[in-house]
Amino acid sequence: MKVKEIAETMKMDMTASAGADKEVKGVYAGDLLSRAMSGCQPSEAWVTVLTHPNILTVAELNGAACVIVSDGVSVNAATVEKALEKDIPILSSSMKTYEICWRLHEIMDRK
Amino acid sequence: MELDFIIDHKDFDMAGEASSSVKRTLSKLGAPPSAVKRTAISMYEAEINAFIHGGGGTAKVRIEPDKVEIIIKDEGEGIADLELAMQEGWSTADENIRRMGFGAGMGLPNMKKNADVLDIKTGRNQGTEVRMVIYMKSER
Repeated sequence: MKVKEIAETMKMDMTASAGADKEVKGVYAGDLLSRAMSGCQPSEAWVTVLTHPNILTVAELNGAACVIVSDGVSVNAATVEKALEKDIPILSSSMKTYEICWRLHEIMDRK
Repeated sequence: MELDFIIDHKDFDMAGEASSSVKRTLSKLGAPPSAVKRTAISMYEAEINAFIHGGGGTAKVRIEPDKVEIIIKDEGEGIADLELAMQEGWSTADENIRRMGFGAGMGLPNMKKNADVLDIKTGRNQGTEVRMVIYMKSER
């Protein structure tokens, strides 16, 4: 399922839209950078409350499909700018992490 | 091919960018995906450590057909207890650092898991030098 399809289906804001055609093949949820470094796999959507520009470095290093910022946390301009540079989409939602995860599980193909 | 980087401890937005650059270079050179990933993770963790704990430093990366060698040095306080630091979850990061998502205490364990060779030279107030080798053919 593409990032932009997820955004539409789950009514999430497209905070940074570059790369929204990417395929999402799984989900990783977590708020510690080093845990995400080893845990987030390529083409996964990373659900987190972190919004510091470093999330894009970690997302890029892991080949994540996108970052989904949960809990209504607002994303600052520096982070958005970096996301556009790196072609990594950021979606924002007021839903909490758990809810985003189970809803993603429902809508994505389970292979 | 040798790549040199400066790790500037004042520039939080650039933390990890040297590792990103090396990852992109390795991908463009057609290195095996496993080697690219393991280099990215080990170098990122060592770079962030130099950044957060070492007061910044330097990274020297040598890319050869069969391996990547990374040497990251800082002139910081050194690692007081290396055995403790190698434990998952153990971190000396302060509150400000943790608020940004750092400080999981997984840096050294992630380096150990992903590098084929890991040498750490450190001592109280003697700075730290980390040398890692990732072999292209190893899968780990």
